[in-house]
Amino acid sequence: MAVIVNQLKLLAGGEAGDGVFAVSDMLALMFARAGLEILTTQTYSSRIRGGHINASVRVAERELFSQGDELDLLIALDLETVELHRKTVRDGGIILYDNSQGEIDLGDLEQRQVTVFPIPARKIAREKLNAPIMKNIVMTGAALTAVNFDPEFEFLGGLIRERFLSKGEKIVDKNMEAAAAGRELVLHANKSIPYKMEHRERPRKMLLQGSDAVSFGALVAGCRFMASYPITPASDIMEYLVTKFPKYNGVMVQAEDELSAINMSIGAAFSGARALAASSGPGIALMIEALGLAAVTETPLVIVDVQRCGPSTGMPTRMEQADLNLLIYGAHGEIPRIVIAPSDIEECFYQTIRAFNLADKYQCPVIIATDQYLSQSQRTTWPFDLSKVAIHRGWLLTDDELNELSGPFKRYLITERGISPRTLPSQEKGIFKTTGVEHVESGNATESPDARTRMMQKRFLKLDTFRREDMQPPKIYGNPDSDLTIVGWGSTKGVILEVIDRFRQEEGIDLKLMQLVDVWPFPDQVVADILRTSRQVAVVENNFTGQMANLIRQQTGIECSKIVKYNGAPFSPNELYQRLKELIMVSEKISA
Amino acid sequence: MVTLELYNQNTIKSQWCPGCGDFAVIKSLKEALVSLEVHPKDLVITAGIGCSGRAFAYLNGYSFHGVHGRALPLSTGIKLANEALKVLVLGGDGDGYAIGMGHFPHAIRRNLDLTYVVMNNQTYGLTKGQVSPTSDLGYRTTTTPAGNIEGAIDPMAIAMSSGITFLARGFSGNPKHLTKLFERAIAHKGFSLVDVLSPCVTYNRVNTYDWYREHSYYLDEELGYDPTDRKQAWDMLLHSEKIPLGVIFQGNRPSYEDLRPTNSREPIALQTLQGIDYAAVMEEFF
Repeated sequence: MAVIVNQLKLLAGGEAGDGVFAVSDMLALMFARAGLEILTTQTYSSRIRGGHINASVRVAERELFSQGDELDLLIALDLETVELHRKTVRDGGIILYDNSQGEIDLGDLEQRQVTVFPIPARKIAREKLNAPIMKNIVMTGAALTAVNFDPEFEFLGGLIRERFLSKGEKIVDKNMEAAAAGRELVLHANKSIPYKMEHRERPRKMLLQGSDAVSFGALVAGCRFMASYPITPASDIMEYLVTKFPKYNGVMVQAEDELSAINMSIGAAFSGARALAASSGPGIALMIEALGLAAVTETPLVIVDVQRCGPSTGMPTRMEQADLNLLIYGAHGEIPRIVIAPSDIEECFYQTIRAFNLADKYQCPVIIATDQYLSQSQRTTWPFDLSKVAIHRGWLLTDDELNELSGPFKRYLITERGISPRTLPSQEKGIFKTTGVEHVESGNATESPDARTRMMQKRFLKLDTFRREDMQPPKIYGNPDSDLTIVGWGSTKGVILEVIDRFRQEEGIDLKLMQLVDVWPFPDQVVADILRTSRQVAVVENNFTGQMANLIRQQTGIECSKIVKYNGAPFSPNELYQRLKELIMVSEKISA
Repeated sequence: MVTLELYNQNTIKSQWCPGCGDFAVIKSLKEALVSLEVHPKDLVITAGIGCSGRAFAYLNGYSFHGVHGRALPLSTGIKLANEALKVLVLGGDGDGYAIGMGHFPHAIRRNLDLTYVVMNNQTYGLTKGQVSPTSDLGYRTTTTPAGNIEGAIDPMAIAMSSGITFLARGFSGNPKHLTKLFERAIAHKGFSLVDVLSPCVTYNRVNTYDWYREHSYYLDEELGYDPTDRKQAWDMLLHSEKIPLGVIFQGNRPSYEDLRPTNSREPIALQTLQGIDYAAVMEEFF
């Protein structure tokens, strides 16, 4: 039997509370430290204990773009996990399962040459180790051995020491004993194992999820105020920043609701702090009124929407990209805003920093649209280049500049670029009044039709300036000369790239991807130019109505095919490959 | 020097009805700020929506007139981002006790150093005379033509049970007394509420200046009322037949700013963001 080296997709599953994510997290980190590429996903329910949860870890030597398809290794902490996932284990794959509570029916597994290791982890942890909690360490030791990795537990030993040394040597030893028990069971089964995982030398890479990159990006950008209300899957951001802020003299306030959260952040931004509000669909919906306030008072504000399945409560722990319309249009009246959709971990970091700079420069809300999949999927990533980070606070007047003004300071001065000078409370010559009521240049309220017209034009002029000075055109991947164009935005980029690669290898067909990062204001002209020269265009997105495809039609008049998915799961490579293939083949026949 | 003249700069002509109770509130606030020597550059006035919210434009200082009901969260952000600022929150009974009630107990329990002045006229003025959460039972308005069938809420009791550290009630008919209350409220470290009975002369024909005079009395600290006595304060709120005016309660506990974990007391908003090394934080991702 041929041995598969350094290519693995595993899934750890069990009941919530079993420590499933501890198993997947440890394995992912060990493989990453061994110089391999990682991409993880988490699937969980909106409940505390009970209910099936699972996490997948895909491992390879080359960079990974999606969660993949078939499983090589299933690690089942309960019997239900085997029943739910045995079909996705590939022929020749491996199943490790906890048989403390019963045996599984092998059924077709033997015929499919799936190697099965029953590991009574619960029983061992309880009876031999007298520590029921260590069942997942038993499983981890067994899993490492089942894929021929870390036979001397160098990686695992290091990790266990890091995590448990603070609890004492005894606990470390006991964990090692638990792992060794798992290893012995696999070795004693004496089965030939068709996998081998090997250490590869390469410079160190980080392993982090999208929300880590957004949160760290905010910190590095100088965000020092965040107000948020807990909501899945956005709470990771507030939970990260609250641990970092004390050292940097920042504050995270857990607000009583999202109405409060966004208004607190607007207040902090008015005082001069870089402020963030993060939420998911239901919370964003509550923030919409104050979004208009931030825009009309020209207060810089960064908002993160970690999209999840809507509408209403929807499926809180599942991914969707169905808030695009809300983020672009959500408001009564009309306001300037910038909406950015990062597509990977690097973009989560760098675009968050850019968002804070844009918010200060244009004095308007900047919204970062991520989703549950991107936010909670860990990936190996090159270290961020911190030397590339620049902080630009926009047009803030100094006291000297204020003293030199010939007349009174006008906070909403009408300028050619639409951007007005700003002062911060405590500047004596910079006192101004701001209001959500329409106002004149001084900030005082007005109902004059002329003043209203000028102020609307001034605010929207900022977007023209943004188009000229800062808008990022869509990124092109794949073969730029291909006239078969896939359009993506946000987290779908990875799977599209993987599928493009496969089309080239398996069908000899070159495709290109046009990935929109700045989604609002919409880069009309560039998109129209790219799409007009395309024979076929398919927009791939996770929503029902095809919001991006509709936006493209609205902005460019170009009709695109829609490939949509809205069941809560991201596209898998196989699925997207098949759907694109059908589309392309149908069109090839027509054109033939 | 801080003068009344300074507080009259950067203001516009009032749009309130002649005789409105809110005039006295603004006048007394200015006097209190002058006597405490708060410079307008260090003052941020926030306001909600309603007749009373318009007050932000009638005295000098930085100001932020936000959306309906959210003046307290707005102020929370302003204050936390720069603790050196004095933050004065202005609003009415509808703004604070109806649409904004969700924030009221939470702002109080955080005990931020804010002064909240509610101009309570027991009706909706700006929208032309609807019922308010502090309107009395039976009160007739355009939305309660048969009389109010919802009982009035008691913001003072809610404030007490939420852990307020400075609670006072004033009356627009007695601006001198009001000024003293504002002075004490603004000087208090922690959250202070001054609920001001401030008659609406246009829409509330029941709760008039005369009505308030008849139905209120003054707590006399010289004659033995001790506002630091929590039990006495509760007794006063629960068992008075008439409305008590004065400082009802003054307590002392750490503010949110005091308890916030931080390595620096520099105003958050004014610290430098340049040249900070984050390499050690990034190391946690390996």
